[in-house]
Amino acid sequence: MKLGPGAAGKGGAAAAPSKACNLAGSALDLEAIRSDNKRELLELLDGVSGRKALVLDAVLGQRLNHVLSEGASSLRDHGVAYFRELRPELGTFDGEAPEHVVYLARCTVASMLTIAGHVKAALRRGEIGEASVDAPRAPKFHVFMVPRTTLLCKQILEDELVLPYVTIQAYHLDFVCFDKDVLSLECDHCFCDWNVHGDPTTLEFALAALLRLEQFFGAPRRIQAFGEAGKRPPPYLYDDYADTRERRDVDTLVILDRRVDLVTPMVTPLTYEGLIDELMGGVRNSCVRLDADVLGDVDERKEGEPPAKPGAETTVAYALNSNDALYAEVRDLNIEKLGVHLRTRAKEIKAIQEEFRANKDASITEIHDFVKRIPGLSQNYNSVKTHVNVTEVVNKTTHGHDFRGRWNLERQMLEGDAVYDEIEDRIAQQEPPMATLRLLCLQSLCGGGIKGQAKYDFLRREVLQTYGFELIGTLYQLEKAGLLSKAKEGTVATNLLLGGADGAGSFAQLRKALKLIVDDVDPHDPRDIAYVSSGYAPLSCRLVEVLAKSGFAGLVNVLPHLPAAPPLDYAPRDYTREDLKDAFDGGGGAKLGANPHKQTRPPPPDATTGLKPVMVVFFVGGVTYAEIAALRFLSKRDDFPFRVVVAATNVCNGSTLIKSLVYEIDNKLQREPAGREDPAQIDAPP
Amino acid sequence: MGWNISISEHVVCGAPFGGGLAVIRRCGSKDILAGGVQIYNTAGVQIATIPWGQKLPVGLGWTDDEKLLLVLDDGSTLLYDLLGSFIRTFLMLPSSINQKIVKVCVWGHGLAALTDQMVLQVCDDVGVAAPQVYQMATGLSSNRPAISMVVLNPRFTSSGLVEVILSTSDKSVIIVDSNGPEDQLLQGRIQAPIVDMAVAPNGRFLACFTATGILTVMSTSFTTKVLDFDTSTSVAPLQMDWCGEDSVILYWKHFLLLIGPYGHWLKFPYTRALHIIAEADCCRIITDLSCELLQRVPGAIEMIHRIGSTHSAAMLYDAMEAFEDGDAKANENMHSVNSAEQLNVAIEVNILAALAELEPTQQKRYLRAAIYGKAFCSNSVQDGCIVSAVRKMRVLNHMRRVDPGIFLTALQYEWLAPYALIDRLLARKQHQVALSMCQLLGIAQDKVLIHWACARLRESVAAPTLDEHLRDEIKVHLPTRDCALPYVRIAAAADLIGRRRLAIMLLRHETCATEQVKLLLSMREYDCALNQAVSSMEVDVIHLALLSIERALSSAGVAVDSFYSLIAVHKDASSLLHALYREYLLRGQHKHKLLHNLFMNPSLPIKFSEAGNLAIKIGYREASRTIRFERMREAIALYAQSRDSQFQAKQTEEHLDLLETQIEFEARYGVACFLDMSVTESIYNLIALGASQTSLGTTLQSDALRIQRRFRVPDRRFCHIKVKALAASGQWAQFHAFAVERRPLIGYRPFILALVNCNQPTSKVLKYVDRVQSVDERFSLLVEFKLWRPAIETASRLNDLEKFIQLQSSSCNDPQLRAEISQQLIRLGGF
Repeated sequence: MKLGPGAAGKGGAAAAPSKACNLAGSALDLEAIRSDNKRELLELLDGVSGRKALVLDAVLGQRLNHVLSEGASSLRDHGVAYFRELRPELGTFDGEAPEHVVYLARCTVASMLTIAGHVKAALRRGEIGEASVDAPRAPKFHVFMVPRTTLLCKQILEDELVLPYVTIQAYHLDFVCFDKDVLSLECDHCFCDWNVHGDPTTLEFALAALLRLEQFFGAPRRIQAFGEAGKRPPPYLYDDYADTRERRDVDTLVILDRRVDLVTPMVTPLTYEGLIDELMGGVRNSCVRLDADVLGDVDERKEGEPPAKPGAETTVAYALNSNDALYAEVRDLNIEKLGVHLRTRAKEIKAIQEEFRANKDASITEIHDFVKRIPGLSQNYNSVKTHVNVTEVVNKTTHGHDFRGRWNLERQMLEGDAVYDEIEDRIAQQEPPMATLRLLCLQSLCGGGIKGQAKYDFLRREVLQTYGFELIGTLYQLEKAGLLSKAKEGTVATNLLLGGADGAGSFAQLRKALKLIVDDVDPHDPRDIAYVSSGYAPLSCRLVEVLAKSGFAGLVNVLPHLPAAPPLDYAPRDYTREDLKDAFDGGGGAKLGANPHKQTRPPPPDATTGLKPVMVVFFVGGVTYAEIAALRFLSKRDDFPFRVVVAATNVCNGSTLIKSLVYEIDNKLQREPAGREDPAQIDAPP
Repeated sequence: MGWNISISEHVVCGAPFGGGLAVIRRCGSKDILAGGVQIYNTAGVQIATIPWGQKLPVGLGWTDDEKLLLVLDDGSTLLYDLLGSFIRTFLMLPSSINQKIVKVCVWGHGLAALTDQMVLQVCDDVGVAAPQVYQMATGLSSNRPAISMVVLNPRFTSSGLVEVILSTSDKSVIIVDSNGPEDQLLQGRIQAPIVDMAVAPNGRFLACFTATGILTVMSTSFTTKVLDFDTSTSVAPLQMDWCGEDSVILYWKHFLLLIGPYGHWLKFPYTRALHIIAEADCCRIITDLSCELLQRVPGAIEMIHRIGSTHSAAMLYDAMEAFEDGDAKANENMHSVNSAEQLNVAIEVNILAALAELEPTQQKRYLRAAIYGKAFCSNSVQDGCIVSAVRKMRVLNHMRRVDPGIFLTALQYEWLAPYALIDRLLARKQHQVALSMCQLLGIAQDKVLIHWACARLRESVAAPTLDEHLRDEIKVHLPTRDCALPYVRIAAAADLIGRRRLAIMLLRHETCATEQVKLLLSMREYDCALNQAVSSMEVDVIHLALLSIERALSSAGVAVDSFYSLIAVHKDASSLLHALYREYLLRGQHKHKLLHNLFMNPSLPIKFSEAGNLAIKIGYREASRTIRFERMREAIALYAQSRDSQFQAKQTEEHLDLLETQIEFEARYGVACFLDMSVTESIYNLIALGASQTSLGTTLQSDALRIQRRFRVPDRRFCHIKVKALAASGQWAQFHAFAVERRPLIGYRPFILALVNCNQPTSKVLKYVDRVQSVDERFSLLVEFKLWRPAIETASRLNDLEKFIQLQSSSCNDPQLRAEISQQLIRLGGF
């Protein structure tokens, strides 16, 4: 659903099926979060009485799909007459002017400046302010900041001299539920802010969101935190915090700083969902934009509806969640198994139809039975068709020479080989910059840095000379985020002594200790999480797996190679608030550090229901679809003692992660007019 | 009374609700004052003395929160608290007016003063730091003066504004509010000028005494007259006021006259001078010896004690008395209370009577009656009532003691509310009593504790104590856990008395980081504020500290360096400042200087790389070529200063060089397709230009080579670019020449790829495939580019089973070819 003026004007929003996942049957009562988010929004809107124009930050508009399961049109009942996207110009309104303009915006400087621009424009037109007696009735401005109001945003509105004309409130929208087991804050810049700039703002949002989770489901029995981000104290220690210790829905909370495992996002996933994300232009807010002719119900559209106007949008947002039963089945399958699986399902459906057609003298009841099954059947049929089409598109790439070459390259790097020449060659062939940078980063991460100053400089120069000098800041930021580095000189041992986990070869140690490379992966019957990329087990998920099964005792050899070791491991309910506060005050919770020599046993399943306890894995800095798949795989296994719910600051992949680290340069150079226009597009003469 | 004064020689003014008494001694008949202003409590215990000169104040009065207002005839007004501490002074008359104040009225928190020129000066709230005074025109003058004046509390007026009622010698009554005067035109309804007026406590009635001795009571809206009472005297009373809401009390020398609502009257002889203080439901009569309370007998007591009362409450009371005497009449009496409903009423009335009663012994009797009645009652509805009534009585009885001496009736207590009573206790420094009261009534104690601590601190000024001792003393008395006491207020008090060190010590106990930091900032303890903000780990608080400190220091003209060195030690603070300045980049052209200075400040680790990056970013934002070049040179200089950014320095230098070369090319070839391109793109364009500018072919080539050499482009990359460029620009002859020139460094695959991408015919593609020497390689290229027919041919020529298996699993879907592949497979025994 697109919340532009067009969609609202036609009322088309109402017709679109919900993009929100049905949350029934989730391990945690996620519906409670969703309905609370919804309640808060409606209360905020009802607090402003009269005709309203709702102006949405584009990113938030999509996020709202997951809050309002019946679509944004339901907001019309709460006085929203117009929908607008937050743009530099507010624009005019066709019908009766709204009494209020309500902004729903993330608390960023850019959106505040845009809003200030709107208010200033109204001031200039004399609609508000002192001399507003004769002027047309002006709307009142309200700003709802997501996920909370910040001093800085207020300061900006004040500096822009518009603060007296707006009312400010917070809309505490943090976690949105993408699926029964996936929660996301959709905060893409968290990793960059924290790791490159050291700005803890978004991290604070993330930890505050965890607190909200606790308010719903109680404090977890155990908290295990890896990485620097996990060592920041939860904000409730400093806040009025209603203790919720009687609820115990969450057994274990694992906080994983993305910095602990930067390798996994750089590796190309081979699950269906992961590949859709990588190859189909990216999954945003659990939706992907597909070409209209890929969709399964395309035939029916041709019969039933007038043909689409030429020039109309040819892509359609397609929701990817477990509402689509078939998708829930296939999304985590390895691409090699996918085709077989889809074929069987298609055959099954065909068979049912054939069976009925063959039965010429079916009784009335039989016909009735069949008709009853039709809605589900046709839905399944459409779904199978769509996924077969999508798979075909995906397969076109995955069967290609390039993709295989890339996989091989990644595998070589993961196993510890240096493939500088291949990377150099790919740069020379001007492969897309993100893809190349991703390989370069993976090489650096796996090999403990690029060996030798000369090589390092050479590769960086190749990048700059090929993709443009503008990347010079980006290279620096990648370096700062730990994705790219020069190998330290010296042996592994001395590096360990001197530089700790970032030393060369630490990935090699981890690979051995955690068996990250699995050679005999059978994609049709996987027995290890390594199936998600046909051979490499995501480090983060492997940590979770080992931790759940044998506690920190299983990680004795691993801990020294992780950054910001030792991880924290404590039972929050055993401490009073003051004790916890003291522990965090005194040096990042050192007292709460994990003891690798203590044996811990995983908790038993619930005696009455037989259900396993719940583990929430919170990725600070982004989670990949491969990791989600791997954790789902673990969750389903009998020998894994938890049901897993994945929470994250955002869903990412290698390219989006690198994109978030790009040093933005705004090129405004004026060129003198000349004969040729865009030099990069010099083509063959006709 | 605990005092030893004679009312006749003093001016007395009492605060409402049993509050303090201000007493001024007059020397004889002259308006000269002696011995200052004394403040007593209701029991005549002296609380304070305000030292005073000789000038008698023209008016004095108490505000609702027991602050004493003293007004001098020149308009200067002084405000004191109950303990005689000076609070503030302000002027009721602007200095430009040469008038004298003759009469003053105080209401709530407001003050109205009438001048000798009959101008009203009004202040609505004397409690604020800078009271605002405004003028109200009366339409009167010194020729037609007002003889009496009262104020109607804005609570009771329809407009919500204060109204002043004035009576004049020519029988008019004028109501003045901020909208101007309004004559009520009563000349026809009253016989003589009104000499005295009093407003009833409920604001509904006005009692007027006329010069001919008639007491008229009318509504304050002047629409209805309630009572006309002829006192048969033309002497005006010394004092006239209300006793409760329905009776008027008049004082002449030697007697008091109480006039009831229907003209009934009572006369009380008094030999000595007295002063009347009107209360909401009674009046206090202050004499030399005692403070008396005159009140209509409360309804509940009347019900029980009226002669011959047969009310169930009276029956219950009698039964209790009989029971205590061991008299069987008790049973009889109880029988006459026959229904449960009556019994409940009886109990209730007895509880009310106990509350209304002032004498503790009698209170107990009523309570005993209520409890006795409860024994006959099946339900225990009354339990709560009795408990809360007893609590109230305990509070009231305690208050009525000589110390603290706040004499309240139960009704007044209800109106005042416990919180206001606690405030009064705090104003008297009765912290212990206030605390006990909180405990008894279950009210939060924060306020009392904080007030105590602040008072303790102020006392400490007199007796110097160590900061540590004082802190410990305060801490011991305040609860530590489960209670977020606003320590910030104590700290603020400590700072106010000049004990900053103590203030900072106390602030450590504050739980709200924002408050903590705010106070520290207001104390200009920037270092400490920043410290606290950072350790709170709350971004908002750190921002608060940063923004305030930055603003304060820059307005004080302190160099930014000291600000930077302040934040240098705090990692979060400095990174947030960076983030802040980075966001400033979005907002203005010149804000980047801030960020640059921050990167380059020596008190922080100098960030040459980031400063260089910034310079480049700014350079790119410029539309002008020259400025960009300047910025880039600046960036080079910055990069060059750090060992870690030598690479960047070199690259930027090379890029500058490239830009210059590109400008040269653009001039030479007359096309604007070079500037701002990367090295690769430049080479590509040079080669591609060969298609259109054939005459310049050699120059283009040599330029391409020049760039390759200058920027050390590896041969392999150069080849890749060349192949792509030649193919894309359709220079097939050169393309072919390049392929055959010598065995290409990069193999033939890029050539084939380029051909396929340019949709060249298959035959042409195959020519290049044939150039590949290795058969296996050739085969895999054929498969990669989906050239199935030649692929099958190659495979069958080799009779290679492996290759057919590979073909079988490929994406080839031509049925004829697939059949062929299957045939071959069978032939070679693959199946």
